[in-house]
Amino acid sequence: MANNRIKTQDTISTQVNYRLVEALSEYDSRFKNLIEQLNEIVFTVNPEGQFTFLNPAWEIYTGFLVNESVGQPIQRFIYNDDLSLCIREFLSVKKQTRLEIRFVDKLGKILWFEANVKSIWEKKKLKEIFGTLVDISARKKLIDSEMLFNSLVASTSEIIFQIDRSAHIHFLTPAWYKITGHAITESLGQSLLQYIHEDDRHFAVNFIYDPQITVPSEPHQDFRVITKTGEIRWVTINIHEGDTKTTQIGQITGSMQDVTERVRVQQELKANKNRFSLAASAANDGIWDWNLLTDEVYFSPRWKEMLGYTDAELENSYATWHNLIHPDDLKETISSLMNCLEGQVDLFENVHRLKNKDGSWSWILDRGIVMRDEAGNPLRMAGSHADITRLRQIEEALLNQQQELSVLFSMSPDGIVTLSPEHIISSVNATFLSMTGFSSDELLYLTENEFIEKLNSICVSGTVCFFDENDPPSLLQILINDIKRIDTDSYVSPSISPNMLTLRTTVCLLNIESIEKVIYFRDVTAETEVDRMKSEFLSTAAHELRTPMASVYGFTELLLNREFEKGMTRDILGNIHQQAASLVRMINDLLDLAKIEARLGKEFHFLYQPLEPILRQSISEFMIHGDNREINTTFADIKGTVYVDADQIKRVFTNVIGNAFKYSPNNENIHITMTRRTNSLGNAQIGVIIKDKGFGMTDEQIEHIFERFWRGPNTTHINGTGLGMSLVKEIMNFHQADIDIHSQPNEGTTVGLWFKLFNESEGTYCES
Amino acid sequence: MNHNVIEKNQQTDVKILIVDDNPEMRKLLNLTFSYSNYQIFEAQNGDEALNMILMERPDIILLDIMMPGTIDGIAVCDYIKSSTMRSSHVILLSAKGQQEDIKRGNLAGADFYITKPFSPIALTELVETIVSSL
Repeated sequence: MANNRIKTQDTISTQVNYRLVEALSEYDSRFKNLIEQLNEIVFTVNPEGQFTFLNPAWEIYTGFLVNESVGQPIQRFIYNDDLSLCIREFLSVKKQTRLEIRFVDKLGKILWFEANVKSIWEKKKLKEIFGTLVDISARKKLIDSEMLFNSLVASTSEIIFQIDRSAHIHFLTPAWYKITGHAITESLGQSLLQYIHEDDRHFAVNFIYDPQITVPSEPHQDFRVITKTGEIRWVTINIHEGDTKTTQIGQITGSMQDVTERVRVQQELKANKNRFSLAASAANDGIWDWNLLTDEVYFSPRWKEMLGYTDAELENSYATWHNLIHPDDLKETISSLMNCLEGQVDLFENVHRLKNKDGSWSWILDRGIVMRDEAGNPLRMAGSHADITRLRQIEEALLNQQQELSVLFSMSPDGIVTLSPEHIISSVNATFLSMTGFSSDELLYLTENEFIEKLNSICVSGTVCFFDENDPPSLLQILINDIKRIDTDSYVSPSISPNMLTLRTTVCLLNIESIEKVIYFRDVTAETEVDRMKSEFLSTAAHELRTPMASVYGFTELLLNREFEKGMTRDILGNIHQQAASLVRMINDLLDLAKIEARLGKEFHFLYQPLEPILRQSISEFMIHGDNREINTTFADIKGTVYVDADQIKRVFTNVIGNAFKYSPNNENIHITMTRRTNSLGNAQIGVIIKDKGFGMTDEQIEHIFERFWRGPNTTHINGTGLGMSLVKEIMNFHQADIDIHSQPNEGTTVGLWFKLFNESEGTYCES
Repeated sequence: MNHNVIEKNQQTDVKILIVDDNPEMRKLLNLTFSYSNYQIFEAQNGDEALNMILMERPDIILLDIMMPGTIDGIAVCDYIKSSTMRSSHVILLSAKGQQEDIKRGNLAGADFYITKPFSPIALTELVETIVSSL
């Protein structure tokens, strides 16, 4: 272009111009060559934004031909996202600018260029823009990957480091600061080892530089690092494999992870384990530790020793324990264990029997804890064994004792009622229920007052009151509905209604935790009855004695104070004598009765002897009195003996035969039979039957015959104390012999006296 | 019915009724009061006693408590004292000397309670005292 202008000027300057032109054209072609040789793209763009010049480098980079590109707007080759950048910076450039901009090549690939752009102005008007484009694609890629790398590295919690052969740090990721507290800038260039705890440095060196040489006992990958604040953190170091190549350059790349937590937990576990073992061994318990993944179990020596085994005699596996469990306990124990493992419950507690070496069984209290991973899967279980055999024995003994006491409580002949501290009936025994006819439902949990009310409802006499221990025992008479009274065949015939029981109540205050009060109900019906009868007897006896005494006393006083005719005097004296005699008899009978009641067995002389002689002797005494009547006897031939006191039995015969005489008219004979029978219980008996044809008795009178002082109606003219048959009954009872009476009014009375028959030859009880 | 009339006077003799089931006792009491002009009547039991009372209207009644039958001495006393005969003097005679018995007797309205054995002389003195107040 410059050429055209220079051609139009004059010849003088032409030579100079010519040299200039030549120089310029030389310069120009050199420039052109340079440009064409350049790796950089050189371009010019007109004010309209079209390429006006492009060097060959354009083709190399973009693949577009210079021909097809010149004249095209530059926008066409710019990457979409950078179009606005292009317009803004590129085309509006004031003087000079440098920017990074993306072009798109013929294949559509993005090209990064650094553009240096300069604008040329002429007379305040933009003439043209020219610039260079330097390819920075590779650089850009590197920068991108570096950025990616950095961002990755920044986010990772792993420290990634690069060190050289002398352990100086060349590279660290941000995690370094996070974990160690040391700024990366401070740390670069320092020896990595200085940050490692001095005790671990030796191992660290070995680990990093000669990873093949590892300390045989522990693969020591964990090292301690000292933070800026002096704390210790545990890290695990990994050296990256690929670095065998990089060691050539001297660089080792590795990573560190903060495992402080893990180490801490491990240490704690270990400490706990130690603590646990210590405590357990102190407590004399056996320890077990079960690895659920390998099924191995650690049994402490004590564990095995508890069962009588040495350490070597039992294998350290789950099966060992399983096989020692008592068959009766096995199912429940295993089910309990499974519940624990599967059921997310961490505490296990079970009592079962394990077999000792000698074959005996020990009761074991087994307690354990389950350790799980984050997912809740059981990893490990550990626990202890305590031998509670002795405890168990004590427990059983207590239980037995409790049962015994319970039996005693229920079988006690006394009724027992207990009250809780809240004054509520807490228990009633079976005896009380059968005494009163209540059921336990009716009585349990009643308040004291309600109970008293209930008792009152069946109480005939006496006050129901259970307040004070110091109250004297009170007597209650209660009405009972259907009772099975065992006829004790006692010598005292009960004269009160058989539907009543007399109970003596005693209150005992216990003041123990569960029982405040115990009330005892003792059946004193018999005693009370006896007491009553005794006092009645006494008053009746007194009365009976006083009556003849009144005669004796009265008549004698009259005789002493008045004059009577001789005949009258004699008559009166006769009365006195008769009454006195009556008194004597009565006193004798009373004494006899008293003796028998006092059971002065010493006064009795029991012998095995035949009955016949005694009977015959009694009969003979009656013959003497010169009575018209006869005693007809029928004696069966009976071998055997009775066990009796002869004098007493003679008395019995005398009384009965005497009655037969007394209560029958003069012309009727008495019949006495001696015979043998087997009673309803299958026992052999010998009997004496005395029959008269006298006045006889009604059934009602028969009921009274053994009562003391009872005399039949219209007997006042007949001597009698009313005690004769009472005495007979006493003596027969004492001999455990039977007596029965049959009678019809005006027809006569038959009395049967039956004695146990003994075998004469053997002297033992004869059973037929 | 035993009717022992010893003497009959024109004067109104004092009538004594003896009630006791025991013949010995009746004999003794009879003998005791035979020294004077008493009209003596006897009864063996409660029923007889009541009849005699109605019939003879005795001034003094010697009454045993323990007697057979449905009516004992206490019942008889009770009857007398609640009837038109209440002015008769009732002397209870009993071998029963307990406090309860005496109390019973008093409740029935008896004028006197004598326990057996008794002094016949003392009894006659008692009766004489009563008679003097008639």
